Amino acid sequence: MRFQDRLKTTPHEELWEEYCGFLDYTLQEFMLIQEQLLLEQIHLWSKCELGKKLSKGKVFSGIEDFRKRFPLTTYADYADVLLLKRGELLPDEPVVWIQTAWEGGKHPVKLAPYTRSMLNTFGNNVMACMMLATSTAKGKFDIAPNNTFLYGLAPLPYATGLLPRALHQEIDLRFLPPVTEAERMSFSERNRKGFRMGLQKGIDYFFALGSVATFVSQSFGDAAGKGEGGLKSLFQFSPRMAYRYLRARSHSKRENRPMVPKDVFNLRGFMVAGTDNNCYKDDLEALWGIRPVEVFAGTEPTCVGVETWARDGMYFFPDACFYEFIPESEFEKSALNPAYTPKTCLMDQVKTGEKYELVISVFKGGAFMRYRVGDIYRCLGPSKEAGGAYLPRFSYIDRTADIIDIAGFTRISENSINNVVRLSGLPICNWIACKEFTSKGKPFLHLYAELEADSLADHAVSQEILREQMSIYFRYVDKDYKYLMKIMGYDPLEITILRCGTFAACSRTGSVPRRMNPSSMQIQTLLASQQHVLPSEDGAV
Amino acid sequence: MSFANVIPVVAVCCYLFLLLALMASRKTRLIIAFIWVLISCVLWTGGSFLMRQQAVAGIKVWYDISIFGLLMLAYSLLRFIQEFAGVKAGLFTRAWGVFLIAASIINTKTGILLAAPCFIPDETGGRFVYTITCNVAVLAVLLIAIVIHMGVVIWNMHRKDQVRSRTFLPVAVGLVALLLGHILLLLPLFEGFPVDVLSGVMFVICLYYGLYRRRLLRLDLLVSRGTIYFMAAVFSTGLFVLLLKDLEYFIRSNVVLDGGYDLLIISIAFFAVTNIIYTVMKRFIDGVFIKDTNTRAGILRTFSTSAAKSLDFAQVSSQLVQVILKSFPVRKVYVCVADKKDKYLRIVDSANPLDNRVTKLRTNSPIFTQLAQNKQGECLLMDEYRRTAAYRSMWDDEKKEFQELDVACIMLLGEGPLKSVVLLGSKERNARYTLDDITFLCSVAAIASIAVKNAQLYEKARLEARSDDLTGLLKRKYFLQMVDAKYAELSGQSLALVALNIDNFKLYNQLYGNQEGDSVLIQIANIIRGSVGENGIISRYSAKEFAILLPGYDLQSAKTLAKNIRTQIKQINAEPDANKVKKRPITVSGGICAIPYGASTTRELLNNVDMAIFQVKRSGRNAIQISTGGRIEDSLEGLEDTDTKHEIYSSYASTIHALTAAIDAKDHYTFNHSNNVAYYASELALELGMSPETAEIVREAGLLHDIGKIGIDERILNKPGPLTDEEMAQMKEHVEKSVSIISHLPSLDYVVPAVLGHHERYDGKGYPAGLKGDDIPLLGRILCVVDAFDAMLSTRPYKKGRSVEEALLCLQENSGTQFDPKLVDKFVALIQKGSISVLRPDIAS
Repeated sequence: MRFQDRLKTTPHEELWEEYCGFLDYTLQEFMLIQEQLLLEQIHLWSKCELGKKLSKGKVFSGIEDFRKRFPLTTYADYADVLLLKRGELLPDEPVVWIQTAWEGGKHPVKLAPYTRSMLNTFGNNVMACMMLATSTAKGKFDIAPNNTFLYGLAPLPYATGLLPRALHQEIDLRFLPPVTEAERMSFSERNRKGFRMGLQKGIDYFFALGSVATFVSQSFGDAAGKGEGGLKSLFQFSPRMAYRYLRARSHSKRENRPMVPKDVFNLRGFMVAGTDNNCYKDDLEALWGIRPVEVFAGTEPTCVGVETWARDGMYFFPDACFYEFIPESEFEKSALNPAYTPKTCLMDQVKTGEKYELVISVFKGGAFMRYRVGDIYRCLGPSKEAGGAYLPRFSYIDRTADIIDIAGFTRISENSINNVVRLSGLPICNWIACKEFTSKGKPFLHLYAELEADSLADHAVSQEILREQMSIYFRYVDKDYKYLMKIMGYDPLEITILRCGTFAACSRTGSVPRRMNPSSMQIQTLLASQQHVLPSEDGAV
Repeated sequence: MSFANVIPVVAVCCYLFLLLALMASRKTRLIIAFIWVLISCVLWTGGSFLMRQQAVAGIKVWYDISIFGLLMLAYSLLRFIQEFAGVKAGLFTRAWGVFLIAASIINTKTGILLAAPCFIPDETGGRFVYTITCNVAVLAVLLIAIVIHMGVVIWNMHRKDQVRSRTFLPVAVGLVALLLGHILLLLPLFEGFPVDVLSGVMFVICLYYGLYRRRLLRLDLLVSRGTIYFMAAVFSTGLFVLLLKDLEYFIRSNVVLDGGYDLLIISIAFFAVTNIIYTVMKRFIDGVFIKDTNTRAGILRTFSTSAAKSLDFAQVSSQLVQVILKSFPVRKVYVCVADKKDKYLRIVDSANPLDNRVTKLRTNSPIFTQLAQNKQGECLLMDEYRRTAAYRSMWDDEKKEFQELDVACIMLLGEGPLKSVVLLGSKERNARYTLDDITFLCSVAAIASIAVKNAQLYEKARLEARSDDLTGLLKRKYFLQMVDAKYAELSGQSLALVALNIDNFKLYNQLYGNQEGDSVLIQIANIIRGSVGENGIISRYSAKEFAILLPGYDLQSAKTLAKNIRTQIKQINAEPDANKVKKRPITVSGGICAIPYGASTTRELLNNVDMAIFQVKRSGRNAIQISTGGRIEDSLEGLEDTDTKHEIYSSYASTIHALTAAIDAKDHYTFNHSNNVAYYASELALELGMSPETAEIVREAGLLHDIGKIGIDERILNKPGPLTDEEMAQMKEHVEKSVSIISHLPSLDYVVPAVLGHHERYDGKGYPAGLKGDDIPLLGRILCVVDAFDAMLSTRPYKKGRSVEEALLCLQENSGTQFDPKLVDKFVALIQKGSISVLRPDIAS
């Protein structure tokens, strides 16, 4: 029976218990689910060819044995099977293949298989996200059929495109614009049409990347003023929306400010995904009147966690994946020495305040086992007010150091920066890159570059030229990069030119910073090394 | 009393009756809110009635109570609706409460809002006249505001929670009835008729039904003995109040009855009428409300009686299925029982023979763990279970199996480890299992648990009595009964019998010990069980013989099966064991006969099979003989091994000689000692009644038992003083070294068990394996006694030799601890009698 039919037959308390009851689980209950489902997954996985290949024919006697003897994996371990869509080698038949970019990989994309069971669990967990996004307290949710849904995420074959499909299996919602139509539209067309339809029919739910949501919400006033919500269009509005629109217009005029979405819309549920959402949540709350709930999902792990009505850290779903956590000291060791196998701990072993890299084994016939997703979380500990009295909450910190993710929109790897440097032909001989935040808390890519001393006399290499040149090639290398400036309203690339010989001077001190996301201490050391450049190193003529 | 006056009395009785019934229920916030509604109704209707009756205390008092009740009814009704909708009382609600109480107090003190009515007598008996001022609008506005508040709550509930909204329907009907009652009061048609009071009664009945629909109340709460007595008393009192004057008049005017006994007559009549009303009411209510309960109680009684009488599990489970089918509108019922290893639950009975009985369910599935954790007899409802953590942890396949079986409710039979469960399908039209259903199922489970446990215990005891402890196969006695039974049952159809007798099993036990022999018996039983399956009846016919009765088999099929089994048995010792010792292969001699081809009676069948086996044994064992009509078939299966079998104990003199020469070269004492031990052992074996072949084996074992000393340092072997712990450890290794050397000679492997056991002690404290008692191979025990005897007589660098008497005494002292007491007794007797000569230790025998 679909969720919308169950709304008529099943008391709300029971629905809440079924979908969001996991918040009340004890750690033992949570771990029981994790262990039982991992045993099921090992059972399925060890029978398939991929499993046999990756486990090298080992038979695991239990979970501890599995964790002890099976190595951590990355996408490269699965690439030969998954990129060729060799479904017959997997634990269960894939129903859909989901795509994402493979930063720094051998191929431009990664593919991840989703089985029927995975999609069922995904559907349940997405419904839980919806309930929690509309909740104001435990057990109180506000979902009804035929509500309108402004959806600002990418369509299939990206993972975000699964959500409308999964929701459709449970409840009839009116997506703005309709899903099949949206799949044929560009990003900006989708948003424009979505808002236009929203003005006509109202918006009950909104889900987007934090950065995108902020961009489209901030431009709402302009769009509304430019005829998309103008008086001429009022005839297309429902009477309720026409009244709201006129009221909002009058308020904004009276207060001499642009119209914001909360003036017109009365959202029931608001969800955001992606990185750097903490930069946008305050703005979004001011724009929409309610604070968004953060949903944690990815191509490989599926939908793994969600915040509650307290909007104060997320809880992992117990039945999506088996979660292991690499403590900070261990993933740092692993970053320095790729041959090192970091130790992992489980949900009942994490410590409040510590940072962890997430490792997942996807349940229900998924392909990925002990897979390093590349996301870093901080454990916040349990909180009764936030919904889970016994389970630890987590906050998303960022991607792992080797990837720079700006606003969830683009992922820049060492490889892509090298490509940009090579293609641009700029005489950059050494560089480090890291993600930093503006004084207003907005993320940007900061590149510290050292130029070739010999070329300085012949090339125009001012900071401005470097930035413009590199921006051009970043846009060339990474298709999403072009949206960044548009969305964020500022150039997300900052360049600091280092004195020639800085890197050599730094290496003399014995502390060469890593190229991607070095620590602030390492950056300071590098900057300080400019003072210790030897005359022979700086290429002075 | 007029009819118009009866209605309020009935209404108040009705309210009180419900109030009384509710007192017995579990009180939730909603029930408490309903109780307040009832109390308000009692105050309102009761106060109004007593005011009209101008009862003691005066019109004003009853009027004030009535108005207070009416105002409180508005408030309590709002609270009831809020509780029903799951809404907490907010500031507004509290404000209404304060305003209503304030209005009530002010009106009681001043009558400013609506003063008490005046009674104006007239020709019809009189009427109450109210003086209505504009102040009454305050009360009206207050009540209208509360009604609007109720409307908002109801509207929100309808909008947000359709499930609650549907269960609210009876309450809504009640509210409409209440409203209608008050509107009708304004029509001239209903003047003087208390239609408002009547609508109040309807209203509370609707509320009660609404709570029943929410499964917060049971209807049978209304029918307790106490409430019926109360109602009967109220009715008869009311009746007598109405008829007292007429009755008194009737008694007094009747000459026959009049005699000063009027009080007595009235009392008796009152008692009789009360009882009649009670009986009629009880029957009526039983018929209307607890008909189902009574029917189920009847079913339960019948089940209890029949289940208690039956010790047949199949019968009990079948009765259980029928009880459930009779009591519930379900189509699927499965009785599942754990298999022998308690790993899976298998379906043994179901509502329909065509139901899926193949599915097996993991006993360690989270669902059964949860069921076992439930309180005694408590069922597990799938609807509720689906919302638990345990459900999320279930494997997908399991979920599918439960879905395919359409399981809606699971009932555990018995306590402790999971042995049997009953799975109930969904009720018709997907109705939910009610509280009454669960209670009934608990009772069924309690009765069935005892019956099933008894049946299972009986079945176990019956099986144990009929089965061989070691192999679990039928004992001879019961097997013979089965042969006769099957013969009678098949009447003329073919019935084959195969018997398989293990060759040289006694020797095998002597060589490897009884434990090893038992292990072989179990392996053979498993092979036969696996091969025969459900097609035949298997028995451990004698200590070393198995019989298989094969109904419907002809000689050809029986022969194919027997050949298959024989081939598997031959593989038992095909590979060396964990100690890398290659044991003797196991072979069987078999006989086959079948009715009607080779016999016409069961006696003949058994005799012919025995004859066939005898013939095989005489012909060299390890074959299967088919007997047809008393004539032995020529074609013997497996005779190709016969030649080698005859030479199984052929001498390996040259090998043994080479080995003993090697030890002689290194340690002459050990050479002599081994020869002596070989002599004593073989003599003792013969005296014990063993065959010459066995005596030869033990002799060879005696010769080789210390061969491992080749690998021990000479300094340790001939050390004059006591050995250190380390040296002793090395010395002890000679046993394993001996075995290691002999194991390289496959032709001599049969002496290994004897050699391996010659330093084991009867009390289990020996080495290398620490075997105990009869688990030590007999030949090993023999070597142990004679080895010690010869060693005691020997003079060694570290000790002087003892006399024969001393040595025998020492043997007897250690009899039962170090040595097998029976062997010691025999050996001592033989030495003392001179049947076995005592050899000089330094001279080889």
